[in-house]
Amino acid sequence: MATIVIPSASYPSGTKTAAEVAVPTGLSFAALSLSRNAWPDIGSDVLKFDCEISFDNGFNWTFFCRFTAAGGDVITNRDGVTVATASAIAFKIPQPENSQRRIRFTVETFATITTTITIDLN
Amino acid sequence: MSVKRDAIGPSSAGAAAAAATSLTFAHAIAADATNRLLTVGVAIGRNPDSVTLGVTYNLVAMTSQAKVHTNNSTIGFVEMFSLKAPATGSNNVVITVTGGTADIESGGVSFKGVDQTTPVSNVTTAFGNSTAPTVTVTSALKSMVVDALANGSSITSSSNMNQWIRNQNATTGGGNGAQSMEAGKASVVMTYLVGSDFWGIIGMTVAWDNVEDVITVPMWPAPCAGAFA
Repeated sequence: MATIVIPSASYPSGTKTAAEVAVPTGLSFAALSLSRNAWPDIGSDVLKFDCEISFDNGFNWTFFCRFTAAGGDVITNRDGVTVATASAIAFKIPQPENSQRRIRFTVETFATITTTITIDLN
Repeated sequence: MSVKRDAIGPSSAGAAAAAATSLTFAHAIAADATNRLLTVGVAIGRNPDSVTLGVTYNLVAMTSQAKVHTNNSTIGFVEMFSLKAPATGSNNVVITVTGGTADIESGGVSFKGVDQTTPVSNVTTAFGNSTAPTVTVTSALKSMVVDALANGSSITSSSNMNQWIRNQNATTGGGNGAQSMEAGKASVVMTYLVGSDFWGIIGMTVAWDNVEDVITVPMWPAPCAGAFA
């Protein structure tokens, strides 16, 4: 298992592409989580998060998955009270025996948000 | 010869997003698949679950076949979508939540050899609170039954042919989702083993296209002209 943490930072509106992350052989699952620190409610999405994957050391990239999220206080829990502290996406990474796998992600923000990004590979 | 599975998207682990308004993943349909149908199961966890879903594949809207709330509550639901004759190749399934933010688990199962006039029938739903979500679907030989499940606790396994399982969390009434399939017969029971919790399940028949496979067998040595005259 490997965990990569991108420390808390404030991201103004715009698009940011993170550095590539090498996926060690044997690992086949990724969970990417963004803490919801100061995400304003602008009445629409504040974030679009795209994941891309490469199987050849980053020469070729393929779109893999995406999620979007709104700001403000988000309650999903069954108790109807607990506010979500993170928005996240989870997916299986193919070809666990491939030593040339890499993932990268692009974050597009539509308002200034503060977040810590955590990538768990296992 | 019968309905056959074409592909699972994005993988047997499905895909999930937490506190999200949309989820996108790729589903690849074989270029040589004929008479195709794509099904997408979506499990939603949210309190209250008063949101609506829209699903597209390759930008084409998919049809909602059914929606059922887990244990008839308001903290999660499962909804199954279908699209006949989906484009071949790798294209995106996009799930959009309207009316709020939710926990989403999803995946897709595509089939070939499907009746293109009435591809889906006998849509059946069930809900409960137990360790064995079950729905019984009327079907027929050579057809296929496919289901979609949402559960409040982790989904352990399917008693049928599991296609994908995505366990995300146990904090909602729909934080875990799955899809399975089973060859058609007069009555097909679709069931899972899960952690005891609220569940909702949808089953439906994917109808056979009535086209028998044609197998060409070469003769060797080739018969001479008029050999069978």
